[in-house]
Amino acid sequence: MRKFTVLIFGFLFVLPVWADEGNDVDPNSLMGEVDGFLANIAAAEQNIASLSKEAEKAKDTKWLNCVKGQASRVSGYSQSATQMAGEISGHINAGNVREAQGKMINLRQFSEVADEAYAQAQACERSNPNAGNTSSVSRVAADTVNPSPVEDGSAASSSNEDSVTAAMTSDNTEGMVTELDTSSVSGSDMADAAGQDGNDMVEAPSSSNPSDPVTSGVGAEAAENPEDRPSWEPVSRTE
Amino acid sequence: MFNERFSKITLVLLILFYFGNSQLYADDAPQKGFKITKDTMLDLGITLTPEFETNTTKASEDTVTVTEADGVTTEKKAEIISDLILHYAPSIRIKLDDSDKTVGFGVYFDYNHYLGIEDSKTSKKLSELDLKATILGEFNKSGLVIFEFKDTLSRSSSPDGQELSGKHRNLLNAFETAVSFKNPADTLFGKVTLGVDLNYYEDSKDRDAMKDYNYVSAMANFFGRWKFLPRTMAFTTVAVRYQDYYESSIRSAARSVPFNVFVGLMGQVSQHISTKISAGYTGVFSDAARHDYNANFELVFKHEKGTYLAFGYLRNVKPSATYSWSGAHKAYLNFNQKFAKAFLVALNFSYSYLNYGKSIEYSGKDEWTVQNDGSYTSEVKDDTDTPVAKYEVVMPKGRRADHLIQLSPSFSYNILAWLGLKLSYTFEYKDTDYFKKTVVDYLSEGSKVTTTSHYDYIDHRVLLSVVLDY
Repeated sequence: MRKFTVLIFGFLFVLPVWADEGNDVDPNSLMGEVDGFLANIAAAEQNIASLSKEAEKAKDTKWLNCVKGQASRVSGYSQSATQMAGEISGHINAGNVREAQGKMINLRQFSEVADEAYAQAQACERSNPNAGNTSSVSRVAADTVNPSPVEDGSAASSSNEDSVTAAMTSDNTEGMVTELDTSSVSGSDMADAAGQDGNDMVEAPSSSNPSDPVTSGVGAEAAENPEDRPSWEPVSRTE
Repeated sequence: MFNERFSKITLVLLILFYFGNSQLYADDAPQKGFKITKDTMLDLGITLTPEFETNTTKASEDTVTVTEADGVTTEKKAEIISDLILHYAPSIRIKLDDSDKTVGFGVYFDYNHYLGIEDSKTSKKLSELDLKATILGEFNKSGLVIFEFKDTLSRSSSPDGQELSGKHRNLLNAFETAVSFKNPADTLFGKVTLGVDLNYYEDSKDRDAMKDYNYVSAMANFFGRWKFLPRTMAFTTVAVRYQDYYESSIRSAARSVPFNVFVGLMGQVSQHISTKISAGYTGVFSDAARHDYNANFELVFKHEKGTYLAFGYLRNVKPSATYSWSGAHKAYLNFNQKFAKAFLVALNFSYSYLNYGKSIEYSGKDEWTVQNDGSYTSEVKDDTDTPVAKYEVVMPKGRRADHLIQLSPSFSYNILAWLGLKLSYTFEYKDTDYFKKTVVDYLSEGSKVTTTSHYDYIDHRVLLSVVLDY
């Protein structure tokens, strides 16, 4: 019985050790992945740079602006990715593999975004569509309610795919004519902040309150509604 | 005969469904709108909505008026009046949009035609034309410094109380101009906004009491964000407003300066989950200062492009014309599910706990006297200084607090890219212990009228919308 108890406790003691060993990751393979992501981002940056040169050569300002927008985007992410790679390397050297793995998720996202940016740069609309690349993104539709910064070819806009607005808001209603806010013409969402840049400072703006022109009418925009004031007014009764 | 007609209707619906979907989702699906110039589009729309509402004036069942005259006492409870309302809502939007600038103008009308099915007076008293017009401009969009302006004028109407006596017509003009700046990678973004709002009740021309709600408001707002990861940002807002109820009989007590500052994080935390969390300080400075907090937490779940679920909590504080300030603790849930590409079901729910500052409705009014029990009294005298009427207003001594529940499921069907149907239902329930008792003693006539207004109500609305927008 005693032997059996020792055996059980011994087994319980070594179990976590085995389990931990099972999850162990080879630091060299992690660093290999890091290098792979960095190389991918660098390649996207280089490809966009050559597209940019092509646009400059063609003297197509519209095309150039659009490509440069993507170049700026990748450049920003490239810097952050390099910094993050340094942090990952530091974690691996310090033996903090789990922290390094956590950072790897972000690095992977940077790499994906770089790929998307290259794809967007390739799809940039040109003033002369017959010049060079045949791919093009269609002009923004007349959907003034859900403008897509990607489609409007604006160099100032970021990709809809990696936007904060896309992360926070519903895109199920896109194309649903019943969900259009026909009571308003909309801007370009330059802030990409899911409406958080709204100027109603008294309320922390919430994305949970979509305007519904049918059910709320324009009354939703009205100021304080004195509905609680009784129509009965003592002073006016004697006038 | 019936079968033949049924077959024809079914056939027409099937054809509509087939062509609708084939046009909507084909690669060469037609874009909506009329192209005016290379970069300018015009959209036209009209929405026709029959709506059935069970409590058009949001009246409480407990509101009662008691009249004592000539030794006879009569009691009249507030009527709960339902009606069928037809909304005719045409709209027009025109927008020039290129890589450097956006200039847009839109105007939307909504004529609410009350049919008066239960009380014919409803139609005449509540039918009204609402509108909303917006003009906006954004310039140098491809640069690092962007200029914007926006002006929105809206006119809206609402019943002017629990009795079927008329309506409020509110005009609100909101103008704002902004300068935004960012770094080339668009990771850092800042925006400074200045604006002026002007609010005016049309019925204040004839009713002095409504002047308490007219205001002019100037505001300044700074917003900054840092996108440190894709789909993720940290942000901050600092804002101040000066709100002056310029025609109010309690102007000095109502005038307020709300100040807000908060910081937050927002963005995607996993493949399907995003979140927002923000918190900060709110101060409303009027006769007395109210120091409070603001907060917003939201969790969003998205799956593919079909499922969207968000729930959260919001705390905010706003200025009020008659309570100095009002605040809300709101818990909310929004869900929508798209299926078969053309159908959408949605459910919105919220519960709000609304609290208010001390009533200032009679503050500083010479003609009103505060009694020891907290009630307000006033006398009206004739030319010979003889009292002809005596007024008394009684309100609960504690601060007002309300509970508000709103629930709204809906079902939408996109028949064509520019034609759709939507069936929706909304339920609204307000529960509050707050009341206002007003007593008028007509001394010269020997009669007395006591009205006790309660503010709890239940309202159901069913709407069927036919939406055309091209």
